[in-house]
Amino acid sequence: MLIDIGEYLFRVDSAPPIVKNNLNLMYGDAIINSSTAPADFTISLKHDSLLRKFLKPQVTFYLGNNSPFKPLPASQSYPVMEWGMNWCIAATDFNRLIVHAAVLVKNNKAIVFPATPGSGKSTLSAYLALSGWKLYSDEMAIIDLDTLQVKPLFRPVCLKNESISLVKQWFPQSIFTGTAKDTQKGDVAHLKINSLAEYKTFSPVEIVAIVFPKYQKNTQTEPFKISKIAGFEKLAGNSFNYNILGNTAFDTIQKLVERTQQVEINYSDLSDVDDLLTSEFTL
Amino acid sequence: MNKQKIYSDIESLVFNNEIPTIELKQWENIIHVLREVNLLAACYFRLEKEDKLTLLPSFALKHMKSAAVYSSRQSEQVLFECKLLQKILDAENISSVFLKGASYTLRKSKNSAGRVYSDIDLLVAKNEISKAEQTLAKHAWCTKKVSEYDNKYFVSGLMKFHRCLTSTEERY
Repeated sequence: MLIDIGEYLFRVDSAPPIVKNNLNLMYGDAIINSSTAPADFTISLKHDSLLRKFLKPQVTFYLGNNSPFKPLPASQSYPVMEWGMNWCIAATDFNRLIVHAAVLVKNNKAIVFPATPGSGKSTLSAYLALSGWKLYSDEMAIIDLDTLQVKPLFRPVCLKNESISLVKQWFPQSIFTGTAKDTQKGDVAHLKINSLAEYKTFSPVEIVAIVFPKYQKNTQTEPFKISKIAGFEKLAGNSFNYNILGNTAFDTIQKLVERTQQVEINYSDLSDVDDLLTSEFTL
Repeated sequence: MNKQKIYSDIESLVFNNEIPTIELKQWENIIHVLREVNLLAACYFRLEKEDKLTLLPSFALKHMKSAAVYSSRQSEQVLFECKLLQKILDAENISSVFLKGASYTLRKSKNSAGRVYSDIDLLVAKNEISKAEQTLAKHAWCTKKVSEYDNKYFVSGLMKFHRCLTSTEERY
């Protein structure tokens, strides 16, 4: 089984049937049986031993023969597979700047939402992606070091805890995996956003703003600009490979903060945020 | 593609810097094996030296280059950490010798290009081991278990050190 997520090609060597079913549900047409292109990563999700298959079953994620994570309960199999795929990219690709962030695009203008705690990043990106924005990524912004453009990835959104039922309520037609309970991030479910055909129309685009959302109950939607230095610090802090790229990352982030606006937005109402982002950055 | 052919292609790539003439798809196996044995970066630097990087398909080049970026960052860090280690041990009058990986990098020897590390190996006099351990522990260095092989080979004044860092696993 091969999964073509656009920038990377994964070969799934082995995985439990339930994981394969969810992969089919989330990636659909992007799953191919053979390819003329070589795969970047050969991955697998395996039960640790025959005994473990029945007694408190656990699974381990592998890239080749190496496992980056400790074994986790089999009930978390699908999230473990998704996190493993994230890890493959973040731990081996030092050819671009990779920021832990969601990326949403409208009118060929990208907004990057770094994953600061309490930001509600995934809820916001699910909402926007199902309300006319193009989802380039829910998890990582892949930024070209020369052009500073951000590239699209074909991946689902990872929703946690209350936001799972909220998104199901707002968008009853949406396609979800089952919910994995009590993971290290709480309850987790994945949500399919794009069809492959939609994704194929996406191309690398300029970043116009770095937005740090902050969810606060009953607050008015209010944007305020932050300093370039604060923006730099937050971007660098959320980058997976800043410390490896060194000077290159410093220069890239410096250029990025000079070219874009950095804004914090306090919000409680998602449609207000949608309106604000649309009028402020994408027209 | 049979295994024997993959091995012989890898052998000529690693030992003779010969770029195999194979279909693009077959590079998957080569990159896979080189990643498993931590030789992607070493290949990059050797091919760079022979001016052969342009002969690689872009798939192979991007993986080797990425590994080279990682390895360059590590050697920078090893140089920095070795200076620190030396300073800390000198202050306590413990004399030490860097061995294996770190020493190759310090000497800039041929085999250091593209090397990746998980620790820094230090040789100290046997009776100073625990003093050295305690001194370095104060500066956030942890000892690693020395393998049977190393134990035998270096007749144990060998200490393996790595930084005690917190896991970043939860970010993925």
